[in-house]
Order: sequence, then structure tokens, then C-alpha cells
Amino acid sequence: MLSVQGINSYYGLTQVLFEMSIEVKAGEIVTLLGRNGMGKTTTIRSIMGLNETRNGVIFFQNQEITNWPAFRIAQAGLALAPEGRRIFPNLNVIENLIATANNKNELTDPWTVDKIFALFPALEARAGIAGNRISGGEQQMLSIGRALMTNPHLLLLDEATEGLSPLLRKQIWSSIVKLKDNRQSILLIDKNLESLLRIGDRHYVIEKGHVVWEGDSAQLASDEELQLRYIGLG
Amino acid sequence: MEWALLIEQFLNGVQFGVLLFLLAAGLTLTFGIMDLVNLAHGSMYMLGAFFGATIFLWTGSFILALVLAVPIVAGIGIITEVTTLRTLYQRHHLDQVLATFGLILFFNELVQIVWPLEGLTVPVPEYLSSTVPLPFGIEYSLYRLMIIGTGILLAIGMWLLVTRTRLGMLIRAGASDREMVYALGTNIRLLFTLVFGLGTALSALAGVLMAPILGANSGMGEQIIIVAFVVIVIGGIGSIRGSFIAALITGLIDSLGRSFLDVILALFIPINAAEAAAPAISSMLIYIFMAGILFFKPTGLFGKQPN
Repeated sequence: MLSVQGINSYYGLTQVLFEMSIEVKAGEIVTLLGRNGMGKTTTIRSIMGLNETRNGVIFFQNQEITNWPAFRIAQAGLALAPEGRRIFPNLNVIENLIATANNKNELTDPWTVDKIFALFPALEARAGIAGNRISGGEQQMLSIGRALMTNPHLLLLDEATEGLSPLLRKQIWSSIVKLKDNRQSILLIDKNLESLLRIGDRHYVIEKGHVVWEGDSAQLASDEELQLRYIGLG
Repeated sequence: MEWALLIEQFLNGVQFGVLLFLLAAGLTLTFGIMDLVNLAHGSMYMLGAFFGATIFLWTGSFILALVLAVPIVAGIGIITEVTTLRTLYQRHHLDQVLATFGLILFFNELVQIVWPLEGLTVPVPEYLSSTVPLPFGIEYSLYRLMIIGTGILLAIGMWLLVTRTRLGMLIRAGASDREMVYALGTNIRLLFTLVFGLGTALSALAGVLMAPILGANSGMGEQIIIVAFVVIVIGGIGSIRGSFIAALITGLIDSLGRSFLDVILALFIPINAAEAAAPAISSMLIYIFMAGILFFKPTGLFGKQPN
């Protein structure tokens, strides 16, 4: 479905990604692991077309999308729930969901506001409230909901549960499991290794802008040295 | 103080206010969404006046002048956006100011080449040239009342567009986080061209409406664009509601200040000094008001708060 092959990306003159290569297959949940500043977010932004890439190619659904404008990449079926959520503060919850909604790829059973509310019941009671007046957890749900409303083939979820309470994390993870049961493909960044091991199919460990390890949950779970060295989780 | 004069100046202030709104609406949207400082927005007002006056003089129909001049100027605005302004979005504000100042010079020269040097004057259409009796024995110009009514209707229309439609949601979302709107699948360039065309149309309409009062002159855009910038700063960049309220307040302050500041000042200082100081101070009043607003609300009355 998504195949990133050897891309280099820069912030200004500073190279951030070095020959980055990752792959996501249909229905998979794939995670990017690694410490802060190692290039996880840049990888996602590069896939989305928000960071220019040099060298390397990105294929999505058998089309090359390297350096397409971001809105066309989005229309091809990639949707971003970004780090920091970036809810539109001056739009209410429903407006946030429908402003950018579309079904360009004509999925047969598209997302609706009601389905998003069924997935995240907490949002329904906040329907008419401005995006900057809801809690961080609700904003995270809204950010995921807003991305789903574009009916993506692949959801890019950057920092799925950052800064949320354990209870809210649990709610987010259970919603992601529901998405997985619906065969929604997801590329996921988070620091909560325990949940990622449970939910993720495959994992990439990223260090200084390239992949240093890849494997499935069982392999990652059994390699404590790897976890300690690159992810810093005890 | 006479009630009749007060009410008449109040209406003049509202009329100036809705005129300012028609200019400020486009300005605040382009500044809010694309972060573009477009000094040449006033040129579209001027072109509206010239095209409107010309078509009115040729055909004798003011309605036809409105119906034709507004889309013609909106088209010129869109061509300017696609060919020139688009290259400026990523540049610093100073570059934008310089480039759009260049556009002002270009359009001012252009109208001097195409139209007579002294500009055009057109009468108020006959069916609108009468006056309307109001309380306190006031006879107020029907044409000016028509401008007020048109401005208020357009303000309501813009407010509905921005608050009730998908396009309006995208405009508001774009004003707060352009990249996110883009990343979620909106062709932001197309959106901006649409918004720019809409803003230009409103500005041109203001020009057509003002031609019978002010005539059409090279350079008429600059006088009003400065005040329109004051309006969008007071109202909060990107906010239509803010622009409308700020435009009315600014129009009223300007109009009432010019008429009554001497009387008010005379309450505090000797009448001679008041009469000497009032004209100078009244022309500064809106800037003083802007400074006051910015002191208490740096993002304007309805501006987005910095995160």
C-alpha cells in the first residue's frame, strides 16, 4: 500500500532523514519507534508531502507520489492526525469534522459524523463547542475523527496518546483497535511500547534519520536490549 | 448640540463604515488566510469606480454598471492574483508591501492612460437622487441610505457564507491553520483564488457605489486602503465579524469626531484652543483608537489568540 524507498529529507540545510525506507501493507498497523528528534515526525511529514524529499521515491497504492502537493496526496487516500493535534480552534467540533471531509476515492461505506461519534462517544456531547474549548483528549479524538472523515486508505497518526491521562489513553487505544478490526491501515507514532506491542503488527526503530531495526511485535517484545538502547523504555 | 446634525453625522458615519467594511472584508481574508499584505486592494476599489462610472455614462444604467463592472474588476483581480500575488505568499511582508505598492503605481498610471487625467464624474442615478424625510426634520440622501442598506445586506451575506457554508468553514480553518487545511486535501491555491476574487468583487462594488459621490480618480484607493487596514487590525485579522464591527466603529468615530470633537473638547479646555486643536486631533482619532485597542487586545477585537 505504502512504500517509502530510500528518501532523504531536510529542514533547511540540515539533513534529517537518511535513506529512510518503510512499508505498510493493506490492513496493517505499523509503528515508528525511537527517541525524540530521530526523524519519526519528519518521515510522516515527508510521506504527506509537507516536507520536500530528495532522492528516493514514495509509492502509494501503486502510484508514485514523491513530492506531490500535499492536498493531492491527501486526496489519493492518506490522512494525517498530526503531532499536537492542530484542531481548528475557531471551528466547533462538528465543523472540524466536516470542513475538510471528502470521499474522493468513493469508499462504499464512508465515515459520517454519527459514525465518528459512535467511535468516540465523548465527542458527541461537545458537538457545538469550539475546538479550542475542549480537552486535550477530546482534541486527540477529534483529530483522528477529522482525518477519518477524509475516508483514507491509510491513516497517519503522529503521537496518538501524548500528554493524555491513562484513562484517556485507554479510550484512544480501544478506538484504534476498533479501526484495526475494520481493516483500517495505520502508520502510528507513540511512546507507549506496551500498547504498541499489543496493537501493532510490525515496527520500525528509527535512529538518526534511518531505520536501525524492523520486525514484528514478538521479536520486539523479546529484545529488551533493543528497547533500552533505541527507545529508552525500561 | 443639535439632534438633527448628530443623527445626520451618525448616518454619514454608518455609510462610511459599510464602505470600509466592503474593502476590509477582502483585505482581512487575504491577510488572514494567505498572510498576504495587499496594498493594491484599494486599486480594485478605484478600478470599480472607473469601470462603474464608464459603463454608467455609456449605457445610462446604474444597475448595468454594477452588474458588469463588478465581475470585470473581479476578473482583473484574479488575473493579478494568478500572475503576480501568488509568487509573493512565501515572501516576507516587506517584499509584499513593496510589490503591491508597485501594483498601486501600475494601476494608477494605467487609469491615467485609459481615462481622462482629471478622472470621471457621474451623477447619482435619478431614481435615487431624492432625499428621505427622517425625524427631527432631517432630509437624508436616498442614495446614501441605499449604500447603507446594500452594505448591511452584503455583511449579512458574508457572515452567512463564512459561518454557515463548507466554503466558509474552510476559509476560517485556513485562517487558523493553512497547512492543516492543505494537508487534509484542500487545494489551498484554488481556495485562495476564490476568496481573492470574492474580496476583489466587494472592493469593486464599493468603488461603483462611491463613484456618484466621489467620482473616479487615480489614487483614490490609497486614501481609503490605509483606513481599511486600520479596520482589519482593530477587528482582528481574518475575522469578518470583527471587520464589520470595527468598520462601523471606525466610520462613526471618524465622522462624529470631525463634527463634534470641538464641542467635546470645549468642555475641558478653552473654546479657542478646542477649535484650534479639534481638526488635527479628529484626523488622528481612529489611529488613537487603534492604538488603544491594540494595547488591551494585541490581536484585535475578534482576532485569533496566539497559542
